[in-house]
Amino acid sequence: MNKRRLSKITPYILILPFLCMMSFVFAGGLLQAVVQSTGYMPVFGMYDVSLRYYVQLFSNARFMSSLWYTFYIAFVSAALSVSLGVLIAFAVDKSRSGESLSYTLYKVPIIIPHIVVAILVIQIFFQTGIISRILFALNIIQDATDFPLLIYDRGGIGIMLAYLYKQAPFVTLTVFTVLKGLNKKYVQVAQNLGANSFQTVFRVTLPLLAPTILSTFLITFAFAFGAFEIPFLLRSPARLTLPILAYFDYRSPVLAHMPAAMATSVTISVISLSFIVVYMWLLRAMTRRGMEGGGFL
Amino acid sequence: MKALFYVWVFISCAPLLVLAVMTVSTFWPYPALLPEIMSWEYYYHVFVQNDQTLNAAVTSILLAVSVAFITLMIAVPAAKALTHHNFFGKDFVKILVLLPIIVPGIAVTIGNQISMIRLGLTGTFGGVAIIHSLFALPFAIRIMSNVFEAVGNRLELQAAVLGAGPAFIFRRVTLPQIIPGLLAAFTLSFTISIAQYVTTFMIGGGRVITLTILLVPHIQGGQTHIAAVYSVLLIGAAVLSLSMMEHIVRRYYNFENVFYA
Amino acid sequence: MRKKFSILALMTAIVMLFSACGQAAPTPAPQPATPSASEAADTDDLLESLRGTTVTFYGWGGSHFTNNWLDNIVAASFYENYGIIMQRVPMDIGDILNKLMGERQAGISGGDIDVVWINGENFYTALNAGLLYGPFTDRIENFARYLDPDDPDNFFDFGTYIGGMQVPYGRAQLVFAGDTSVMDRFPADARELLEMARENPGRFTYVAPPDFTGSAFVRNIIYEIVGFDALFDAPNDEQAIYEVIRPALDFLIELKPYLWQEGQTYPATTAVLNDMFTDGIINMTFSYSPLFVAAGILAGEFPETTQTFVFDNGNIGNTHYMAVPFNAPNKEAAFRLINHIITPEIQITKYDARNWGDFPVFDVERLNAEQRAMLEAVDNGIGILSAAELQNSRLPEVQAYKIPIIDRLWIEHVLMQ
Repeated sequence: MNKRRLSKITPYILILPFLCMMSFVFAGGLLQAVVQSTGYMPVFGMYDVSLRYYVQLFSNARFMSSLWYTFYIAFVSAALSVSLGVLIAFAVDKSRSGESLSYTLYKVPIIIPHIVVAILVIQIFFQTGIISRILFALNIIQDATDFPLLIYDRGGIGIMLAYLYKQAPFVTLTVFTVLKGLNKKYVQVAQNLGANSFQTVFRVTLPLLAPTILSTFLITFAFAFGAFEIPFLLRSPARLTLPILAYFDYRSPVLAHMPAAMATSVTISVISLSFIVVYMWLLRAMTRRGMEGGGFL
Repeated sequence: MKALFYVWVFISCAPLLVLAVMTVSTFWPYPALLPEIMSWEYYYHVFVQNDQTLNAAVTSILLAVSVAFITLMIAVPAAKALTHHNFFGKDFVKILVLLPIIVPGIAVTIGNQISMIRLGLTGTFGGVAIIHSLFALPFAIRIMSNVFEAVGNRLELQAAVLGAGPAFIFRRVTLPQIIPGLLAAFTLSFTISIAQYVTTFMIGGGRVITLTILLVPHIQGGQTHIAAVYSVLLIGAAVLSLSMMEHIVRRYYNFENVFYA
Repeated sequence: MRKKFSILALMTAIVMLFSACGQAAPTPAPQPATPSASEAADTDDLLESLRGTTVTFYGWGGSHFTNNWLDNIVAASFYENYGIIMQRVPMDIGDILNKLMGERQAGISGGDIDVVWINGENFYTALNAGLLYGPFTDRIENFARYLDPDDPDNFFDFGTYIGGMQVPYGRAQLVFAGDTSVMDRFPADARELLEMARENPGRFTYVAPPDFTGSAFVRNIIYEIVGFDALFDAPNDEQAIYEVIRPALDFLIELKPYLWQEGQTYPATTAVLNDMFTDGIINMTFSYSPLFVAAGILAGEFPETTQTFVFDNGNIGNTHYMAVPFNAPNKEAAFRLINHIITPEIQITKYDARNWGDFPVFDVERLNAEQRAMLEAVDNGIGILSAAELQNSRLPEVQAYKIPIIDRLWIEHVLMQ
């Protein structure tokens, strides 16, 4: 009896340290952001509470084009990172035969900080970067300006390259974990039943990995949607992602810009959150239909 | 498939070579393929002219290790609860876990600072470690949940049926199974900590000086070569401490045959 | 120019008076305790009690020249003279202000920052948000001893009355630079710049505001096209300012197709602009640091044929300052440090391009023979303009609150078009 009672409260005890952390540190931060986004900053003499900062944002052409631009950057970089990451996960799976060094090396980008990745991308892909120098040496281009602008460009190519480098191994790591767990059970069964490797991958492995892949996609998307360092260092001033837009308002010496910065940030959070909630809802629908897996999220 | 893997290994590592060249190239005009003048000038600025550098390196490592431990101590039970238990509000907690990734940093910076001031933790090493952990938690909880999912809880239940206590079960049954996952989560938390900039400044208030605090201003000022020297130091410190960690763990647990990590 | 400034002073005072009554103005912050007369005396006891304490200096740390000068010349000599340890913390002013705002909101009195490097719009904000301590200039003996009481820069910062809340640290001026082996002559005004860009499409560009220096470049163009007076006299209203600067924005739109990448994008920072110049992608670069060409040649980044120039009608100059936050933990030591930094000997070492190349704030007339000799002995090398040339071409800044408005108008009408 007592034991049963205990097992009922066990999860709450296990989750308690995390909840303490969130409520003592993070909740305050979040609350502050939401309150300030309504324009309420009493210490600095701003008392009016309203939603006008949100209204202003959505009626502002620059904000709207930033919104689409951020969406595009986050979506494309997450899609590319996930595709490449899954591909590498299969490659790692196939080639893992005692070569521990290269097995460690593929994870290198994970430990390189984002800001460092940004300066490396500049050094390699800018008009005077290494690739441009190599093409010059090969006589393919005659001048640095012949090299296409890949960094500080309006298309955000540099930003997406940096994300790809940083996120693909993260995807690999996550997917590989699950992939290894799956191999034992289902793949052999499929092979015993005569499936070729193509069929095994597309009919067995990928569907089993689907929930993991989708949730990894969402995490990388949400990260790129709200991240700051890479788009800040590689941006074209003509195309800003939402976090950069918020950052300029946040850092603006004009105090009255602070609520706009917070409203932008809250908007970013709400968008990412709604994607995740929709995903969880979809996942639940799928699980009810008898599909397995998914794990966390 | 194998070729793809090696191409990716090359793509992963080639930028580090570029970084190394940047640290010694004093004059590298376009379109030269290699620097025309190389020197240790930037190292001199970083290591000799700035006497904060070595202390900052030590602080960065100690901080990252503490963050990794704090994060694991919170993430492991939380992940356990989220994978092997059902409870009211589970979905809500799952979303809560992701919040630090989703909410842009600048939105919570000042608010977090105010919370930390009220807790009396600003300007302290511990305060900075806590705020870093906050941002490492979503990743760590995710990794550990995947691990618990893969491991399952059958062995634990069996041990319990056989009459083992929770402490014994954790040490002898759970821990050996999740060690590789713990290492992965440790690595990720460590990496997140060493890269933190604004949070370190806001909570550390300039009293806790890490390598990133010294590095970032040089990027803002366009001195990328000096930033490159700090980056090399940062990456070197990370690789060294992480491989030491892995080495130590491997001495106690042999996990050759376990899958993730 | 002097007369202009007294008008400026009056205008500012009036504007401040009005804005204090207007509803948009922030409530006056609870006035931090001002130093009382009894504290003013610098007794030996006080100095003795400061010995062994630490004083912190927070500010931009993006140049190893600047950092090295602060660490190895200022901190070292300060410790020698006073036995006080100076700790430099590299941090952008925006982060510093946000940190102080957080501390204001949490209501804590003991902060971390003793001295902060600041100016312009940031000073304006810090002052209005009650983030600064003071007035304290009466505690800085060298302020009265070496600084010119008739120089408006010592009392007005971007049109904001300083009121003893900050002390000059150094002087900056927007200067242009080009390579004489690439350009046979330099543009004397904005029109010529346009001509040259038309003749060499893709070889010119400038940094996009709200970058600090890019923003100054745009204002300099506005001065060229509509004049300083028009902008200075414009009321504090976005529409009114737009009407005034519209010809200048039209000029920049006309320039746009001849710029790098046809003006579809711009470099985001001066660092990128300088790199592009070094690598020969563009013909002209600029900086707020008037001796940057000398430093660039010394470092081997710029070719030796690089030369500094300014427009015939002059370029914008401004001064940067040091202030003390409301919650500075070691205010007395902060005053000593600020006093130390404006001593002529220290300022002269800062003037040396090998150390930093930042212009001193003292009045040369007030130096003794030894100090003058020391100043004259500084050889800043080649490619630069003389102090006199720069002084003669120095144009004032407009009111701080107009700058974010101008930046926004540029973004809307030039960048996004």
